[in-house]
Amino acid sequence: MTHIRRSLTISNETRHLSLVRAVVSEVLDASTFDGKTRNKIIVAVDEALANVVEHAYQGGTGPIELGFDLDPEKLVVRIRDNGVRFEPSAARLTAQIDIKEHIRLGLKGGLGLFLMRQIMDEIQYVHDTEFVNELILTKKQPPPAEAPAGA
Amino acid sequence: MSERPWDLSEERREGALIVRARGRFDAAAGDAVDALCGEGACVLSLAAVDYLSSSGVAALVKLVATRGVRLASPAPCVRDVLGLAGIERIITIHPDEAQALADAGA
Repeated sequence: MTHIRRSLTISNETRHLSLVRAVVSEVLDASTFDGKTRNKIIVAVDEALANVVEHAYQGGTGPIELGFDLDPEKLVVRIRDNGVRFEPSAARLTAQIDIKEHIRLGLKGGLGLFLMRQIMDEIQYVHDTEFVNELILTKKQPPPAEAPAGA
Repeated sequence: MSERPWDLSEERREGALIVRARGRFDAAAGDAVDALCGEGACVLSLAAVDYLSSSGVAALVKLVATRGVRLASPAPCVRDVLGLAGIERIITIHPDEAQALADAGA
């Protein structure tokens, strides 16, 4: 059974987003997600990481640790930083967005979190670890397709 | 060395400006398209976009709403993200540049 672990540490610079997308893509190559779902997961991870890159260190620099854990049942992505504590309200984690109104009001944030929620099965913000912030994204894997009879 | 993850090319056709985006489309790319648009019709082709961020989604909606930009030829990854964000329900996305130009009256 496939069990893949990858980890990497980057600095909070947007130029690293493409590298992380490539790592996510490589991990997903070993999954049972279809191509469309893989692309969506890459979007979710990119949005989560872009938020951390932009906001965690508030103009300063600092490290961001990423962990990818793919087992036969699920993909778990962990994004950790030691920047400013971020804890979105429960309302923000569950709110539906009227995209037209959202953009009319000039609101820049919130859409990325909305996309993450649309794509992933579970999103958790954890603070009781060695990191100030740990964001955990989980997506259940579909069971592998059965081999055709006689194969 | 530029680390810009996107690129724009321009073509004038039938009085309209066609802007073709390539690479990652984000807020900065949206601002660059906005700067290119003049008074005339503008079509933005998304065929060569390989990644659309949430800030890019907001930028596209703003370009349509404030500059009357016609969107055309979305790559599959673009269509997926627009679908997730519910954008296809509120703005028109033309299947190709010719239809976008026709809609713009060019």
